[in-house]
Amino acid sequence: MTAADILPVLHDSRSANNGALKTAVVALVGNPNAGKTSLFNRLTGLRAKTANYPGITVDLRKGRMRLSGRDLELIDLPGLYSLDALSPEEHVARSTLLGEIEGRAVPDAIVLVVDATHLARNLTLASEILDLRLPTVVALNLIDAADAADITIDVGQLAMELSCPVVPVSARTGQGIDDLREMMARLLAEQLPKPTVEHTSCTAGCHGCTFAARYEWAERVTEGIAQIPHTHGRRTAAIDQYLTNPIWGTLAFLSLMLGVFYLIFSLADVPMTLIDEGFGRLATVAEGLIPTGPVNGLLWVPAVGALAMGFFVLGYRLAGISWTWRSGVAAAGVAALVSMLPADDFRSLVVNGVIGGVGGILVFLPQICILFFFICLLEDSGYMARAAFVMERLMRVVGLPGKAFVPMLSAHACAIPGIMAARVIEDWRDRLVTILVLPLLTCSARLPVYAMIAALLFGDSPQKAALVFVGAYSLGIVATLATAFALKKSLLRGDAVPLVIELPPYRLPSLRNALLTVVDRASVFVRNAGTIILLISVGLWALASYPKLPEGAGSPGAASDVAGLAAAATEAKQARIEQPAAWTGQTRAQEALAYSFAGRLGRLFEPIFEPLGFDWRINVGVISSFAAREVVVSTLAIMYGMGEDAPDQQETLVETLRRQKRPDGSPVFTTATCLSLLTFYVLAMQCLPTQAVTRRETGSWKWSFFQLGYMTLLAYSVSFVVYQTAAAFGYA
Amino acid sequence: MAFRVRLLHPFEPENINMTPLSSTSQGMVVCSRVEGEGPEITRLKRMGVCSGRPLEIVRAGDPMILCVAGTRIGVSQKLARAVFVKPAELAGANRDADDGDRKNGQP
Repeated sequence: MTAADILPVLHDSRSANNGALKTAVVALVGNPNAGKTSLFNRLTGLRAKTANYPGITVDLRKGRMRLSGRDLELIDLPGLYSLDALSPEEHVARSTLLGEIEGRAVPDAIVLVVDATHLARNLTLASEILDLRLPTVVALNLIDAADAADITIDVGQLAMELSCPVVPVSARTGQGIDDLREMMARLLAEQLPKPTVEHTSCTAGCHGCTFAARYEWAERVTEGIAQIPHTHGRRTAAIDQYLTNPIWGTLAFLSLMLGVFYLIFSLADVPMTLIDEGFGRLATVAEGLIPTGPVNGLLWVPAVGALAMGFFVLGYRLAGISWTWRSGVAAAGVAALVSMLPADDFRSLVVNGVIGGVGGILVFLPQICILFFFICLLEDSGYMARAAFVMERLMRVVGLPGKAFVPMLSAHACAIPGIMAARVIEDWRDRLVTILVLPLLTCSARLPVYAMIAALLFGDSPQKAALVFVGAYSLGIVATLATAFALKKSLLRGDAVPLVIELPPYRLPSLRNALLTVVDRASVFVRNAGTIILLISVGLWALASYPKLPEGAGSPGAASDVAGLAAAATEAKQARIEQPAAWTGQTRAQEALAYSFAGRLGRLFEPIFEPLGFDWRINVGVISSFAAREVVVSTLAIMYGMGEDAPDQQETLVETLRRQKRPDGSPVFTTATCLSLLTFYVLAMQCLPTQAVTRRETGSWKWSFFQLGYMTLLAYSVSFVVYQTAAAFGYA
Repeated sequence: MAFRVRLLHPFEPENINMTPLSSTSQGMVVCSRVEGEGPEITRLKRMGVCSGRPLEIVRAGDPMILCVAGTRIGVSQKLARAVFVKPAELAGANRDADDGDRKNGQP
């Protein structure tokens, strides 16, 4: 076999389908922790991609390989203990193996991954898979670990017992991979017999349970072919003595997580600043490229139209949207509309809508990636099972399983990796409740809002300002647990499914696997969530830009604010007497925003948000930060006439906000209003990426709208109570 | 809850010496029966906690740690209450009886 024969090739469905032989589908099956994903990565390299079937929320990793001139598709099925489908992932694995997925036949062959260091347990599943009578090759993985543990296995004898070929491999070192490829090629060429052995002496009509029969068979086979020293597993047992201890284990878990969080915030800082600055620079470049003077319509319109169309082609390709007549007309219509825009508006769309929107998505990517990286390392090392074990008892109080704890901790950096990490929870209802409550936890995007309000309330006392943060974090945690409890008592009734979890042996995690997982998850996020978010950012841009402020006119209806504006203007003018040009620009930005749909909506919502102590300008902030909560700080800066760069100088912003007066002369940002605004931002959704990810993980918009609905309702009612109570005590 | 624990009759010979796993401390035992059904019970059984199988209790408590078929598993007390076990030294005779039943049960 030459190297060219076995090199994996890039996925290309057209050429594959036109080939002489149809693309063979090979499924990789095995227990969780059997090293299945490492083997998959070893076989397909970097050419794997995440695919999902319509109607199924579970991600399946697929990769193309070329074996002896034949294309084949390798599918990495979720780990299984048996063919009983008890989780969405297991259900997909089972349906794939039985050919129950629409439009997909039974796989042409199976690579059954067996952990050589835990033969008895792995052979139990093997007996069930072999009973499917599909062409199967057994990959006896972790053979290097078995050697190191002095476990000797008679491979020939094992192949006899299983009546199918057995190839000892090590996904970690690459040992035996070529042999496995060759065996797969022979299997697909139908040169090998199908397994025929009967593995269970009693399957039906017998009072004992079928699992017991399979275990007995597996143990009998293991005893016959392998010698396992008595010291096997002693090291794991010694470590577990501490890590599963109720006190030491909890302490170890919490300090580990604290360390991970410290690393996330310290490591993500540099790339986040770089992304922020990079997009800032890109915006400046784009601004310079677009002509300011009058343009030649004959050149301008087709050029911009083509540019917009190109953007759609790229976007559709990334998000996997197919070109139907409907999506084509939508793209062409929007492109035509964009090409009609005056140059000034087009510049604003590119700079604020598109570049700002993409930047807003990508700025949190470093945090998401680093978090995924650590979760993957912890998972690979075997520690994650211990974390779930230790947290089980605490979490059950609110009706959630111990496995929900890691997603909840992750959500303190960002809800998105938290929601994606909820996949470890087997039970669908438990998983759904966890996903629904996660966005209530304080993520890092809330911190700028907290900082602004803390400075407004207690700018003079760092200790009191710190209390604001503690209070906001605690409110988030209490709301999360209480909502989970309420959901488990009402809509998604039922206790947490009691814990049954394998505590796998501790192993050195693979950096390569962790990095591949991070790349995979990040691309899923950018492709799927990114496109929707970009669309909404452009929508919000339009909301804040149209209708345009007529030349030389002030905003209608702003008359009532003239007094307040004038007062603020005078003071601000004194502060910025050196920059009169900038000042007129700020006033103009403020008036344009007030005149736009967003400004009008702010006024429209005035009666609704008044009981919360918000004035119409705060409403504009709430509306414009619908897609990304941290935007409220810059919107408030514009609304109170500070200009867009003001948030960088927090003291000026806070000073200006403090001076704001209502029409009746009372200050806007009273203690009651500040507390109410803080409460609102702790509890309200205000994050579109999270909603897009919720839709992806739950498979329907229904749950993302439910999430948005209950969080908005919760935020509104708690803020209402907070404001009215504080007002009653005279803090308004 | 999807499963219910049924009280066993204490005077039937096969139930003598049988205790719920939840109130057993460390040591080797043999699982006599698992009561109830539903996904939780299936999850337990497919990990190897099913009738006739030897179990080692590594750490009692909630959740507890068992060693089954060479791997360690964590099981919450709630599920352990549905599992009835016998000390390993008493299990030999009973296992033969189980095998007898199984033979009789076959067509």
